[in-house]
Amino acid sequence: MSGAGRWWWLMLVVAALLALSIVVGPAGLSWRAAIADVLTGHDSVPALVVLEIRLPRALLGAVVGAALGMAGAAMQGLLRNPLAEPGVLGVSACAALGAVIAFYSGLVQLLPAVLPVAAMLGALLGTVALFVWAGRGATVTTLLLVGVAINALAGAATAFGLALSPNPYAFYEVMFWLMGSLADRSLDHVALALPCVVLGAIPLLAMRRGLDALSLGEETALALGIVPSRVARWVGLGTALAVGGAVAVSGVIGFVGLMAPHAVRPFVGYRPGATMLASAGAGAALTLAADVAVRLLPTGRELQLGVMTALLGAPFLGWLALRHRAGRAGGAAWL
Amino acid sequence: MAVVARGLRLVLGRRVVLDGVDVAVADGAVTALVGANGAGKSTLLRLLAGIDAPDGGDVTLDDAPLRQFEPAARARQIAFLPQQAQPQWPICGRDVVSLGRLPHGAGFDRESPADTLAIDRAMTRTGTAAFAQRRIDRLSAGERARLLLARALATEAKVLLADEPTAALDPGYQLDAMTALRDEAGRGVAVAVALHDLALAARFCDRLVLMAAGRVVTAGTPAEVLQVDALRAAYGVAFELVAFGDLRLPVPVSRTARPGGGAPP
Repeated sequence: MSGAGRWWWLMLVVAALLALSIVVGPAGLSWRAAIADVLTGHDSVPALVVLEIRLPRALLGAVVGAALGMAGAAMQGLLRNPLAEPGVLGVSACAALGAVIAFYSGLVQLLPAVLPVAAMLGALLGTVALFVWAGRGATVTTLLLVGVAINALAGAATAFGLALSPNPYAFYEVMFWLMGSLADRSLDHVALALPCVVLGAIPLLAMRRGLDALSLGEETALALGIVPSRVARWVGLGTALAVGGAVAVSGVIGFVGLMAPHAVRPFVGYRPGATMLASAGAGAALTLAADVAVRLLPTGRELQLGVMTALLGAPFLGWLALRHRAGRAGGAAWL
Repeated sequence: MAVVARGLRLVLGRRVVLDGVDVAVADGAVTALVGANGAGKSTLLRLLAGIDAPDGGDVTLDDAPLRQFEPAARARQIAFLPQQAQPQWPICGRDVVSLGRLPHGAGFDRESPADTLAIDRAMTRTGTAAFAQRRIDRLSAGERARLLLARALATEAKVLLADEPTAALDPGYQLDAMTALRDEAGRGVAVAVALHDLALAARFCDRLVLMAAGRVVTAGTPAEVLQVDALRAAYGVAFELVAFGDLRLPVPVSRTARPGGGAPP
């Protein structure tokens, strides 16, 4: 297995999509001139568009996508369930609920920075609730069940909030936010999301060996001196931070956390720890590609990013499942 | 004595799974745990491996209480091969075996020369070197069982606990697996193995511990333990002893009682 070569390829793809994301946009400006202006420090309109509009958008795409991809791979590795993604443990749903509460309490109108903070608080509270509710030393199955319950509760509470919407304007604002977007973001958003994602990535990457040990089940992991409940706690914390940070600036972007791990797993020999890193790259690439696509498609009003990832992701997942079914007769759980 | 358990008691819900179990796993010997399904063999192995804590009694490793060990330190000393180790991802054969080096600080991408040596040795001893690059989901049940045994051997611990390592194997590989365990004992490892095959237990093990309903019925050499009366009491099955070389191996003949006390139909 030529491991190093594949990592270079992945980085190359992400870098190329980052560049593409900066070049592509509705302003129709000459990107050669714009980049020349940026490099020479010339304050032209094209330079401002690139620096103030497209660069933040591209960076956010990479950061948010990497966070979702890594968190998805961590969840799938932890729960050894190919359908897991941050949504399964209710992390995304709680982040969204936090944001909806911020919308309706009117705090967002007073201070826009409340929105991301509320989303992150939601993600953290959801994770804390998960571990308190599941109890000390909970098995992965218990965590999964409690996570599904929290997910359903948060989803119901969000829907309830929408139903009580005071006016159509607030309803639409929340609905669009829930569908996820990277449009009209600034470098402040990057500065907000990046530390959270990096902080979340630390415990996730530290649990690489723990996830590898779980490859043969919880009993073997225990025999290898790895305590699954401890792995679950750190992965939960890392996911809350990374996903909270991502949802806070981009809204809910589905499918990336589900797709990215499946896309890269065969290339890293199905090792759960390595899948996490590769999936961060794949998540960034997927999100950037989807974000370029929403700008290129002639849909009049720009499509929401979450809609695009679902449009791309659902067929992709279906194709993976079919290929998997053709490849083997046995009914194992992995794709 | 490497691993010694005294007065082990474990209660799950209202069921007493183990009650007053004393057992010792000696260095350089193979100890077999035998008994009917549900007698408590697997539970006892988990307690001896230190991955579960007993409700009463204690387990010591070289006279130090097992509960005082850090998980990784314990895992370096005691290798445990669970019965249902289900591969969760289709990782390749060598990766499966290399997991055995995890307690020594190795990872999939990080192997010391000592780790590499131990992995290669374990694969040679179990005849699994040919599966190194094959995906585990494309192996037969028997091939997989041997890889998992290699995983446990790769730890090169001083105690090896195996829960029915021969269950999925054909007779040839059953002999290979038992020989591999014997060889480990020959290197001074304290080996304990839960077995259903009494003939294998009699032929390959130094000591037998016969369990029934969470208690030890008898313990001793195979000749001492494999007595028709004790076996009938433990299994609810009438056995006949058949001469095999110097040994007398028990052959199950008919049911005398159902587990739970009913008479045979």
